[in-house]
Amino acid sequence: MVTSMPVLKRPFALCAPMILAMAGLAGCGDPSGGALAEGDPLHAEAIKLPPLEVVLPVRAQSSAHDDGKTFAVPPPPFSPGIFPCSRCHAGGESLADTLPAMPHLLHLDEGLGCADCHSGGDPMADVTIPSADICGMCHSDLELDEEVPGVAGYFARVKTGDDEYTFPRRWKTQDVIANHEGHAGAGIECASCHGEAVDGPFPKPRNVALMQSCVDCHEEQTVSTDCASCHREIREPQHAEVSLHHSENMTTCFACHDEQNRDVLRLAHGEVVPFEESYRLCGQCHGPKLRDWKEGLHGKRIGMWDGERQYLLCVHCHSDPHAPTFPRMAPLPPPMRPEDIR
Amino acid sequence: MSCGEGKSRRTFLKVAAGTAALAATGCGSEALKSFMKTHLREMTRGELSKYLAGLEQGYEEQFGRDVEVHATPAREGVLFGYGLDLSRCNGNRMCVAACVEENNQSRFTDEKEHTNPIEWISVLEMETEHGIEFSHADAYYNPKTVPEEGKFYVPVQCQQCRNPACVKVCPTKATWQERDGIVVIDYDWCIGCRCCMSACPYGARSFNWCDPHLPSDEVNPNMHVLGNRPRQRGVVEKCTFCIQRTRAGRYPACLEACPTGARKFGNLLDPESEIRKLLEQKRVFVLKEELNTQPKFFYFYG
Repeated sequence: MVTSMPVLKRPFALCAPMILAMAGLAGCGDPSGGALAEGDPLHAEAIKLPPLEVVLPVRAQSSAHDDGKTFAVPPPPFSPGIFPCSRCHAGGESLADTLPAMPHLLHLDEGLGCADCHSGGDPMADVTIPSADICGMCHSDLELDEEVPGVAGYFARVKTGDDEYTFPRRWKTQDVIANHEGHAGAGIECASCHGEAVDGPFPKPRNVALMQSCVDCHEEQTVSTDCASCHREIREPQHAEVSLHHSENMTTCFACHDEQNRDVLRLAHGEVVPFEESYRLCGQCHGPKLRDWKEGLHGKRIGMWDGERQYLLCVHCHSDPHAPTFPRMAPLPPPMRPEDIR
Repeated sequence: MSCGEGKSRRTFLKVAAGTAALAATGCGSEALKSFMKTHLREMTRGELSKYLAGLEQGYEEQFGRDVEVHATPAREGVLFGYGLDLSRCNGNRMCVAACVEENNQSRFTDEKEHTNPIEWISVLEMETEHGIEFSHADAYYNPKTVPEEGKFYVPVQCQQCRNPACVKVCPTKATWQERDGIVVIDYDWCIGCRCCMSACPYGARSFNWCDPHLPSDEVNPNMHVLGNRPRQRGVVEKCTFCIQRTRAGRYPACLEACPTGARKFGNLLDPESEIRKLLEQKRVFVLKEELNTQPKFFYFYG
C-alpha cells in the first residue's frame, strides 16, 4: 500500500498558493483588516511556507532517520499573492453583514435618489462612495447628531480619513469597474443589477451570487469576461500575478474555485475540496498525470524511500495554478573544462 | 633469502613498504596507516570500528568540526535502482550542486595554485533532432535560461552497472559492487591508476588531480566510509547513490534537489517501490545498452 489518501501535516499550508481571482466579491472584507501592510505577520509567514508535507502512510518498515545533513530542498517558487483569501474576502454569514450599516430605505423615504448621494446628482456619472461633505449637506453636525442612531459612528469612520477603515478597501464599488455610464448608455435598467428595491442596508449587487449574473449577461452580450476587465483589484498586488493561462476555455475563476467560498475548490460534480486536496481537482482533466503522481512516477517525493515520505502537490512545482506551465529557469554554472584544471 | 630473527617475511615486507611509502609521500604516520590498511572487506568488526574512529579523528583535526563516519552495510533484500524522466529534466543543474554539497566533492578555488573541482553528475545537452547521441552532447552549455528550444538534457552519473567494467579492470580490487548494487571505492586502496576511468563508458568517474579543496564550513559531517568521506589527492571517486543517505532509508540528494521531479529512486526488489512501478508502467532504456554493462539507472519519457 503505497498510495492512499494523504495525511496532511500542515493543513493550512496549501491555502497559501492558491489565490483567488475574484476580487470582485471583495466587498465583504473585514473592514478593520483590509489593507495589506508591509510586514504583515500573516503575509510574511505565508511567504516563508516550507513545502507542504503530505505524508502518506506507507509500509511501516521505516527505519530511523539518520540525523545527517538534510539537503535544503528549494522552496516552491510561489509568488502570486500568498495569503488566505479570507483575509480579504471572508465576512459574516452574508457579505453585507460585514459592511458598515447604512440605512438606505430611510434615505429613500426622505425622497433622495441614489444619484443624489452616489454620483453628485448625475444619474449617468459613475457612482462613488459619498464623502463626508455630501452627508454633511443634510446632517449638519454629524458627530453630535444623537437623534439619528448610527450616523455619528458612521461618520466618525468617514472622517478619520483612514482609507482602510473609512471604506473597506475592497468594497465592491472600489474594486468593480461598474461603469454605470456604459451600462446606462446601453439601456440597461438599474434594477437589472440592483434588484427590485434598495430594501436592505445595501443594494443587492453586493451579494456574491450576483457576480454570476454579471458573467451570464456578459456572455450573452458577448462582452469581455476577463476578470481584469471588471475588477480593478486584479491589478493590485494580491491579484497582480493572476493571469489565466491555463487552458483556452478556462476563463472563469469558478472553474476551480467555489463560488461561495473562494478558500476552497469545487470539483465538477459539486464536491467542495480544500486546497490540500487540489490534486483531485487537477486530476479531473489531467487523469493520466494524477495516476502517475499516485504511483510516484510524476511529481516529486522527498524523505525516505522506504518510509515516511512527503508528496509534493501539483501546485508545488507548477507553482502558479493559474498559469501552470513550468517556468524557464536559469541554469547553475557549467562544470570546469578539463583543460582549465590546474 | 634470510630474514631477521623472529621476523616473518610479511612483517619485513610491511616495514619495507612503509618505508617506501614514507619516502614516496613524505607524509607522516597517518598516511602510512592508511597505506598499510587492510582492505575494507577483510576487516574484522573491531578493526573496522578502530579504523572509523581513526578517520573521524583525522577529519575532525582537518576540518575542526565534529564528523561521523559510518560504515552502514547493505540491507538484505535491497537492490537500488534509479529512474530519470527525460521529458521533465530541463537542464537546470540543481542536482549537480546538491551532489557536490552532499558528497564533499572538491570545490573550485582561486586561492590555491591547484584547483580541480569535481562533479559526479554531468548534465549533457543534446539536440532533439539527433536524439540521444553523445557525439552531439554538450556538458558545458550555459544559456540564460533553460530549457532551450530544440534541446533536451540527459544527466549522466554512475549508472551502477550490474556488470561494471570499472570493477573488472581495477588492479587492486579497490572498487567493487556491494550487495545492494552500489559500486563503491575504497579510497585507501585506490592507487590512482585510472584504469577504471578509461573502462567506464559513461565518464562517471573523476580523479583528484590535486588536493581536494573543501572548506570546513561546507563539509557534510554525515559521512560514509565508502561514499562521501573527503578524499585525498590521487584517488578516483564517483556517485554512490548517496550511500550515506540511501542506506539510512533516505532519498539521494540529487532527487530531492530536482525542482522538476524528474528523478525517481527505489528498491528494485520491492514490487511496490516507485522504481518497480516505473519499470512496469513506462518504457525505459539504459545508456549504451550494447556494451552489456547492464545499468541500474533507467531513463524514460514520462
